[in-house]
Amino acid sequence: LFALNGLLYILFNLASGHVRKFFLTLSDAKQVHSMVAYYLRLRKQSPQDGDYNPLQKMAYTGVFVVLTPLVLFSGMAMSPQLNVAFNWLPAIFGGRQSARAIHFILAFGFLFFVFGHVFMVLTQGFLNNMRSMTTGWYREKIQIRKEAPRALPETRPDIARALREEAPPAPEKTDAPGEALRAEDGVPHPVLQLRPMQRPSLLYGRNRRKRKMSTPNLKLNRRQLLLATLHSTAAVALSGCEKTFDSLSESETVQSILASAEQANRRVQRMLTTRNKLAREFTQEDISPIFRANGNPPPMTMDYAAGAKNDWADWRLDVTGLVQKPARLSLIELKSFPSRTQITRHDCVEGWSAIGKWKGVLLEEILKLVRPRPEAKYAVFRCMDTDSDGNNYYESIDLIDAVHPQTILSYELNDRPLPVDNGAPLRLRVENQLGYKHAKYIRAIEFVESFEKIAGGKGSYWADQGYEWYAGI
Amino acid sequence: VNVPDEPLDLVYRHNRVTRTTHWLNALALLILLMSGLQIFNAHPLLYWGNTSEPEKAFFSIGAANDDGELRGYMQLYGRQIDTTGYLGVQQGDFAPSARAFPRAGSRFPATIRLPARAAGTFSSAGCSH
Repeated sequence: LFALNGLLYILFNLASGHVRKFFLTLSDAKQVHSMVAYYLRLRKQSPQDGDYNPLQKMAYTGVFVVLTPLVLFSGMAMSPQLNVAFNWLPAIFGGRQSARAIHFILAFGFLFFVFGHVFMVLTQGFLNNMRSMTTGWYREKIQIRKEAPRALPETRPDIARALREEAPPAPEKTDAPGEALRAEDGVPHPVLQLRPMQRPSLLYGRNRRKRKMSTPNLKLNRRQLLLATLHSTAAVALSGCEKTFDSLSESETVQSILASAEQANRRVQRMLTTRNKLAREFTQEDISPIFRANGNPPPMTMDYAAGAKNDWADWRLDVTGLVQKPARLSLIELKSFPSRTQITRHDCVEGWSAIGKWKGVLLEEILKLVRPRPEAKYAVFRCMDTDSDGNNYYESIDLIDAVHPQTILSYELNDRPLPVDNGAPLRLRVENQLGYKHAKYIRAIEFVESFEKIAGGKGSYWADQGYEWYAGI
Repeated sequence: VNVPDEPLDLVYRHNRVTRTTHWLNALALLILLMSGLQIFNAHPLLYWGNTSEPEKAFFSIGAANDDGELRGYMQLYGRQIDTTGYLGVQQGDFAPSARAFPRAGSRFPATIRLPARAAGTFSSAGCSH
């Protein structure tokens, strides 16, 4: 939505030639410092020439040319499937975690821009701006006559008196705002106009001639307003919205929209990735000292303990379902298949990453052995671990990912037998997806046409809890 | 103060496309920023590079157990700022809990006290495996 909308806005502005008005040019860049000085009240004359001043242009250009593309690319650099499609993507940010850091920092850049933008709207006449934002019509001039006196009578008797004495001159329109402004050499910043030493007639003279640019019309003390904006933004951002947000994300309509977005996302990402393109593989030096383990605690059932005896000598992998030739394999048999060793990065949905060296049998070899029937669409991995409610962990992938050259059933991590924390005796590695797809403690693989009748029906323990089944993201 | 009775002088300043795109943009940004904060909360640490070793995070929001008192902090390049009541720790229904950005309706700043056994580490809800 954000991207489409932004694209529409940019296209429209390009088409209408509006862009020229707010894009920073070289000559504008030279004036940025004088605009800063002007805002800091160090300089009396605004260097503005046109509808937007150099600082505004800098902010808008920054958002469009720097912030938006960077935030999009750093976001995409976190997607496992897109990392397979475009290996260089995380690298340009200096690594996947760097991309994540930059992504969050840029998000605060947006927040800063929005805050500044809204602050300007509030200070430059809230109601009038709201009118033009909803109806398109912005009221000029009249507001000066109405509001300036209303805001001042008690505190500024001098101005109020002067206002009564001096009838406002007849409105005089000018279509060249830049010229009008330039002609006003020596007129102080509008904020200063309300100071007692200021001649009220000047206040009129200036505002009357302005067009298009919003008229500075401060009614609140600037500091109060700043604090109020800050507080309300913080309050809205941190509390009110989250409840709405939580209930929103639980609503069924939103869920179905998100589900179709997930489908579309999977199709687009698959399209972008050449079949069998590999995820980046790292070197021995890149391996994380500790490969973090998450999720359910290691299964502590009698079965699991019994299986672990004698290096899993009695453990068997059952391969069943829609296959020509079901199989029952021991760990030693699995190790006798051709193996693949890969040093890859594991990306958790939480945000952390770890690099490990995995050795295992290609899942494709198992497929060749059992020969799935044509109607089989998914491989479901049955695991031995359970959550605190006793629900068994399970995962599933489709047969496209199942035959990917990096999809392995791993029995070794960093040249040692798979530790219990990392899924002993056997875990799945599916390198184009997030960590939760990499099922641990596997006891069986079942080939199915649909997973609707399995557990929650969404195809995976976490998908049943509302996570995406497709975690190429 | 008498106000001169003159007709309104309205200028058509924003066209329809500008207006609708801006409002949609505000909505989209709000959703993106809020969901972004939720995502950040799952692992409130930032690193440079490809991997994440918690002790190498250049920025983190967390909670530490300080003699039975859960203390929220924000860390940037090794410098820690105490943010108890704002970030890192929030007052839950029964006891304070560790959480980077506070949840809706939490009173803050909140003074926080809890028994020593409630260790202030972030639970890893979400990612399994």
